[in-house]
Amino acid sequence: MIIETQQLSKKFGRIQALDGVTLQIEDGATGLLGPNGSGKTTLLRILLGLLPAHGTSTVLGLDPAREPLSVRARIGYMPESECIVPGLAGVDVVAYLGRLAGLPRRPALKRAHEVMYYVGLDEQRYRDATEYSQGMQQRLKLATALVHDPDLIFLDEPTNGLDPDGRSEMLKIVGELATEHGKNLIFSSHLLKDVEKVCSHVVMLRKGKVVQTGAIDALTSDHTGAYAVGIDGEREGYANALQLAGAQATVGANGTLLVALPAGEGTHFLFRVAKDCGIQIRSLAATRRSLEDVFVAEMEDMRER
Amino acid sequence: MSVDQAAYRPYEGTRRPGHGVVFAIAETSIRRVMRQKWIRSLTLTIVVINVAIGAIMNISLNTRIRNGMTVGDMIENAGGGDLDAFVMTLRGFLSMLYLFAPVIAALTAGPLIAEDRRARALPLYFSRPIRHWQYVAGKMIAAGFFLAAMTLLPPFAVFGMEIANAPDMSQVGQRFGELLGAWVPCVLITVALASFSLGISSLMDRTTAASMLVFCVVIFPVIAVNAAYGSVFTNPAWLALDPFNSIVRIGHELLPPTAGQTIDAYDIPLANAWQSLAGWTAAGLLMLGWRIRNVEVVT
Amino acid sequence: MIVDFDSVAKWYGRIVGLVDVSLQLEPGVTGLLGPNGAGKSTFLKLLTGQLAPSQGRVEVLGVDPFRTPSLFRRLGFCPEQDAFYESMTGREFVTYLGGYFGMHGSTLRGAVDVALDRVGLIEESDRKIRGYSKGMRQRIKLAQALVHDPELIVLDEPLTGMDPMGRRRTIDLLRELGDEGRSVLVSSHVLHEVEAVTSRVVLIYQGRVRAHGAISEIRAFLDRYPHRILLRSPRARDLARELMAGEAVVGVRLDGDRVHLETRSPDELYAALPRLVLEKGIDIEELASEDASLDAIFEYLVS
Repeated sequence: MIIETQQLSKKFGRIQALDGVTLQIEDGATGLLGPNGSGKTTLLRILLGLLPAHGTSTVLGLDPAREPLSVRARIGYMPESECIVPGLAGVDVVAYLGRLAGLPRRPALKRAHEVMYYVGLDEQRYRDATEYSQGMQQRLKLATALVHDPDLIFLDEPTNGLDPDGRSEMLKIVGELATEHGKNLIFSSHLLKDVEKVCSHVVMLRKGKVVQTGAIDALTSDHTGAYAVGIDGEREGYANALQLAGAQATVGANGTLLVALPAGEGTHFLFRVAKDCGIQIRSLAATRRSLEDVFVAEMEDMRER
Repeated sequence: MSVDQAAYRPYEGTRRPGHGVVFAIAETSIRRVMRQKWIRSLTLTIVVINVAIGAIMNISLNTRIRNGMTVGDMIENAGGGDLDAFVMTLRGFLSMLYLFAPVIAALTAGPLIAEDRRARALPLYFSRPIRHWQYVAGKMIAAGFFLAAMTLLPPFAVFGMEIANAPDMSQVGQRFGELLGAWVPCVLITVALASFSLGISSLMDRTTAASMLVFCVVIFPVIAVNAAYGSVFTNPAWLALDPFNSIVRIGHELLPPTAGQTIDAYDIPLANAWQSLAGWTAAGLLMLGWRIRNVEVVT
Repeated sequence: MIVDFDSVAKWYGRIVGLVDVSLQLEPGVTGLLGPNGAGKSTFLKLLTGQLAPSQGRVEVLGVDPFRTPSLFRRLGFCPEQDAFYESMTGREFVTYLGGYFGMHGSTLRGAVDVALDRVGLIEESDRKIRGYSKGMRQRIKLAQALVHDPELIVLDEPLTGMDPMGRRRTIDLLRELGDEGRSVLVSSHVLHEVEAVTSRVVLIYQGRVRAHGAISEIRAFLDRYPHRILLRSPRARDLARELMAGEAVVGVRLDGDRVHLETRSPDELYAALPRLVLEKGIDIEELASEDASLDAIFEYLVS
């Protein structure tokens, strides 16, 4: 267990930023989700030992309130905002921050080169970091989070401002850190598809409280038993034929039909009816809730409570 | 046979979080300033000019005091000159500091924190295992570095000239005492200007503006206070607001008066001089403390 | 025809911004894609009259945007950068900008209310922008782009910093705007969100328009790349074997119960399936085209 909190609370004036947050985060990659103002930022600050709070928290076995420096020595943080150390070449920035994390000078520089290579900035490493493009800056931030080989890495919107190529590369690198190199990640992002790709678990916060935690697979495996069918041809005709044959068919997203099969029937039912209508099936998938569906539902739910 | 797939490697070496942080920050900041060629040239020029002026002054004072000897003889027998002459040279140097120290402070210390704020580097710093005071100390050393070099070196060079041909060790001892008497005010003005410059730097997020503001705020009392003395106010205590007046006063205290001194030691009460320097230092540290404490690492 | 680019080129000294761009945009929602630094921002600046072309002719809603400031009464622009008057409230900000578009008095007030309501900021509209979250700032930017009821709305990365609910709401809003008969041009890097709003895109890469049209048409056009299709079946091996027997398939990969196929004629493949399911009794649990998505198209055209 890498992070554990018990009744963690923090108030700013009259605003209750965190309200009795109790959670346990296991090894691996965990997504941290929540709308703006949900307490995510406050939680990260407390776990980094930057903010005192009521309740207890343990990060990698250490108490961030009592040993903030030890905690930070073992955590890598990739900030969301644009940050750079000015006046230095890329590799020097990473080496410098490595030294500040406790690495001696020579090993810090060596490590900086390795890490720059790993994140794909080896060709840019001698350039002034302030000249880096958005994509390069994101990778540089990742490099600074990795230079001291931390056991836990906080990633805050790592794909911010990246074009699709950059995004998939970043997700690939980050994903590999979790799956192949056994690093623990806390991945905070508003792009839930990214979180689904990289993380195995999630924690959802809203208004300072934990509203949901668990394995992503478990949360999204809601097989409703229905199928989303994409066809080539008249939707209405097919829908009617399906209804007549005993199924239920409604209009789905992106031109598909959502079909609930009659009891006892399998997918071949869909093909049979399609053939009778002279229609070609072009896509077929059991409907699953996406992480975004789960998240939005939780948030709307809370509003109604 | 081996294949290196350039994968991520763990780090197995030594880790000493918290060690060498101040040095690393100071060194990096100093390097950054040094990278700018024109600052390097400027500081070197100033040091050379000061050493030259100091040397010339020393020699000419010695000549005046020991008339009869030609300048050529004086240069040959550079050491063992009149102690008074040395003292007056040092005092003279102190009273010239206001000519270049503000500029140097503005250029080398002014940008130090402003550039970090502009690049938003502070979240990167403070998400590491470093303490706030370590950051401040590192920057302080960098801020004082150039000022220290420029104020401590020229007196040392003249001291070197004095003892080059010193007839005996007692002379060296005396002169070293005087050198220290000159160094103390230099250190004081370095600390005061470094703190103040860093304080201003921490309020700004543009380096040019920070430098200009440092220069203007430091120069303002230098001009205003001295111009207004006699007309707007007559109490010499107010002259202490100009930090350079204060260090000259302290310098005069530490460098004993010579017979027939020609430099006017302002009648600033010593206490005010110390207070002024303490004030400039404290102002800087307060601004710095306030700013650094409010850094948000996670936004 | 809402937007007409005719042989447009834009040079910054020696550097190419855009070259050989000729396209027309019809009413409806169109997505604008492209890697950073490839000409997208130049395109948008030409479209919104911030730049004039070095060559060629740009026409938006029938006029030259560079020379016709009055175009802005019919065009709403939501830029990527934040440039706010922090001490204004949201309502004041939208009202202020609405004034620029030639509205005043009660008309303006009414329009501001409508705009704020559409972006869901009526409640917070009387707070100062200084206190707004990133998502709220994006929405206020949207509001000012809508307040004057424009015919054409141009949005540059409108979803940045928004939480998932905000993103969904904005995507729905964009679809609504398209349904209302307005023209919307949305530039975004999050491709699946662009797909949720429209099926028509323009892709700009290396200063040229690399693709323009409906996603499926573009995919069909990229016939250099065999279509990748995924099938999942409890009898994956049998399925693969049967399909390989036909001419359509050029590549097969088996992965547990998944069959990854590559084919140059997807139509033939789809046509072959019913026989396999109904006569050979091979159940198909999942059928999906792996690269008829924007992600795939982008990869093919850009990487």
